[in-house]
Amino acid sequence: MLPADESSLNRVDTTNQPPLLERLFTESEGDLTRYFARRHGGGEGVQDLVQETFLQMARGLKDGKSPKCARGYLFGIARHLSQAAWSSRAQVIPLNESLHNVAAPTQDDRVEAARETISTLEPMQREILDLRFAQGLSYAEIAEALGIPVGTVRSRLHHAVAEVRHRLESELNS
Amino acid sequence: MKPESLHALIIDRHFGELSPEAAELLEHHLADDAAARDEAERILQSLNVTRDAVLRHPELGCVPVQPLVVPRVATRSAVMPWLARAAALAVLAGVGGFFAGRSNVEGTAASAEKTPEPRRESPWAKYRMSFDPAGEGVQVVRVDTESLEPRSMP
Repeated sequence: MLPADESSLNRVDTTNQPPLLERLFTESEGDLTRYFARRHGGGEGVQDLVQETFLQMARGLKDGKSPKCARGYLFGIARHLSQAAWSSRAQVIPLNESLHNVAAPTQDDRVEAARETISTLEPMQREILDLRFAQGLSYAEIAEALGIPVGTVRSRLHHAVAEVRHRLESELNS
Repeated sequence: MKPESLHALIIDRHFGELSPEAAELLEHHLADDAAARDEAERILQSLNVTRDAVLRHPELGCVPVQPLVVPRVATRSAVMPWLARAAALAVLAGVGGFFAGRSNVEGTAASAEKTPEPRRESPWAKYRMSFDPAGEGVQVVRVDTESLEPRSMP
């Protein structure tokens, strides 16, 4: 996982560096694989989605797209592909139903309370949390991936943590 | 410092999203204020629990998928019912028009006056099919659009 703003992917290409797409592939292929595996489980389908993501990125660059944040743009493509894959396979998992084969069992009541709180947040907010904690994307990268302002990413993240904290304190007091 | 501001600064610093200057100011504040340090510790604990919940429950990040809006492609099966319906409507309209015309022509000149003016550019502007009242079968009747009196063709 890369430190957000210090990633070389977010800087302008120079002559001595490999092309953007090559660097993206080298540095982000693992992250993308984990992203898709987290959403769709393992298997060859995940690698197909990773390849398709880079293919669409290559097409975008060829068509003259110059995203402000290349890694965020890449995850934006991945997000669309993931959603399309879910739609086509009708694999919409109910929110309260755990992915037993992926999620580790937990005995921690606080984590369970946090899970319940997060499940009540709006979808965009949950996705921001996932991109931040599970994928390690920076605020700017999340903003690029979701097509929302950086300030919105920041405030939604702050709000989510505040909600969890409020819930934990309520449980502690009761 | 307001609790909300401290909350935001602690989270941003944790994620490496705080500028060096702001981070330095925050450090000074925490060093001087014990209550702020305790508060910062609680915020970080909440942050860690939130992280654990997200990591252990991937389903939380799998937001409900918006159905993709795919434009419907006109397939054979989709087109044929339309054609069938259009054909049925055309037949119904034709039959309806035929019987409407029959009732008009069979009547007297007064009833002929009720005949709507035929389209002049049509071959049927002056003629139409009619049943002979005397039982001679179908005949072509000329409709004189000037006098609106139907006359039999020779």
